Amino acid sequence: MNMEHAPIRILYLDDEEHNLTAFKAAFRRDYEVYTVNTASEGHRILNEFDIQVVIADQRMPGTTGVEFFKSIIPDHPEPIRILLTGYTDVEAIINAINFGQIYRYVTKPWNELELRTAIANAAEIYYARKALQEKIIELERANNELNHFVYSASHDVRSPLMSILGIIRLAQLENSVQDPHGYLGMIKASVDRLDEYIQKIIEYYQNTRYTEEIINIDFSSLVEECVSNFRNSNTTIEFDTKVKQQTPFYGDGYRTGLILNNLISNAIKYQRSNEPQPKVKIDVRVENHRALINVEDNGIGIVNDHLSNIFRIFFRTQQANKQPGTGLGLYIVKEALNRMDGEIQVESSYGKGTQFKVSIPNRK
Amino acid sequence: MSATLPRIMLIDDSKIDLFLHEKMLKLAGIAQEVKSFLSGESALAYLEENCSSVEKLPHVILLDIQMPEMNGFDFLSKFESFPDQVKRFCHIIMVSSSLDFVDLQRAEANPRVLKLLRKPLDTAQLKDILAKLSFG
Repeated sequence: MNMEHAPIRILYLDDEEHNLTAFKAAFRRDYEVYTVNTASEGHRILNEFDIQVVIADQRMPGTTGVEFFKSIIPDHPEPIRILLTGYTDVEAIINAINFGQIYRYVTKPWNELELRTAIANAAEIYYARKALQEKIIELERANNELNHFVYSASHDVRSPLMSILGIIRLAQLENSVQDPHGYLGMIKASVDRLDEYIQKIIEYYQNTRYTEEIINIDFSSLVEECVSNFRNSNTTIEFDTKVKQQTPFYGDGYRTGLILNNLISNAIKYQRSNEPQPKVKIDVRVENHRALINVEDNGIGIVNDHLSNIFRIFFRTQQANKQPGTGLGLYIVKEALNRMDGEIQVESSYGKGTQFKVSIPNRK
Repeated sequence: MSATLPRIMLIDDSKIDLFLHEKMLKLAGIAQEVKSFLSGESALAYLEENCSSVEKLPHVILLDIQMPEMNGFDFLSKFESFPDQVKRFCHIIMVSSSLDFVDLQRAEANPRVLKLLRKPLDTAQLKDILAKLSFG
């Protein structure tokens, strides 16, 4: 018997008075025993007390044990049910399993040891199920809290950051702050970096949480939308986009955008500072069964040794004169592709540039 | 090119953002007049009061999404009950720092919303949008 719990309460239904007496005599020291000789009495006890184990005799005048079980399941599904029945009553056993959803049947006349074991096991199952249910509720609550937390991160944390960026922008527009050492620029760079972390955390979370929504994707406008987000703040970079789409493409709109955004943002971020003509080339080709997306840059490239690690979470490299990344971008890309059954390959030569090749199945 | 500049209404629960946006609009010289409101409720009250005097209605409303009590979407559904001529007169642009996918989708799906702009407000971007509208 599991000692952590309050005493186990057992309801025993049998029309034969001497069985009830014998049961009570055998078990009352270990369990809280309620014996009844009619189904309606049984219902009353169940409504009144928190019962963990219900035992019923199969053969009774008026109602059978299986019928009794069936009648209590809607209102009291939790107690574990044990049926007492004769050896030959195969049909009763089948019904008991199918309709009474019993945990165990014990043959009559019952043997005390067997019944004791059955009750102890039943009680353990009861508590295991209960613990599981509590865990589910706890998990749901934790999930909801996480949802709220991320939503609040996406607004409440970002909102003052965006105000800071706005103030810096205004100060620069007005030229109203004396700033010979470029402190405003440093503040802006730090805020941008903090914001990048927040954005990646939100993306990571949204990618793990959102159920996919298959939509018709027009790559021309998707690519244009992605590129236009970057173009304004990266005027020195030449964007070369080519989209060849003659067949409709159906896929997860959110994750496809997420992948494009991360790859383009990397292609911009890892440019060489001394490159006279920084370029980002985006090439999309839609086929019947898949879309092929190539994002290529002429930036710093990736050392061979690092190529196998770049999709790992929190993997970052140290680059001279570059802020290290968050270590999340390519991990998010890889995770998003896993969920879409897509693939990604990378080719890079150090000092010359990098090319990412993505393939996403067409779900039409 | 000296078409009439719009009267712009700002709705934002952040005093700093209201101040910033007002200043930026003035610096960019893209508004004839800027009226700021700290809540959707107070903005609605103003609109209701001036429903029939067109010269007081804003041509453009810059609407924040997350605000306590009445958020941007609540404002939009209340705004729906205004007379048609008011709804046609006032163009609504949402401005938010939200990255929440659901927020972005909702803003995009709402036919009343001309565009969703990100914070910090980029007046050049706003200017491009306003250039496509005409204000009587």
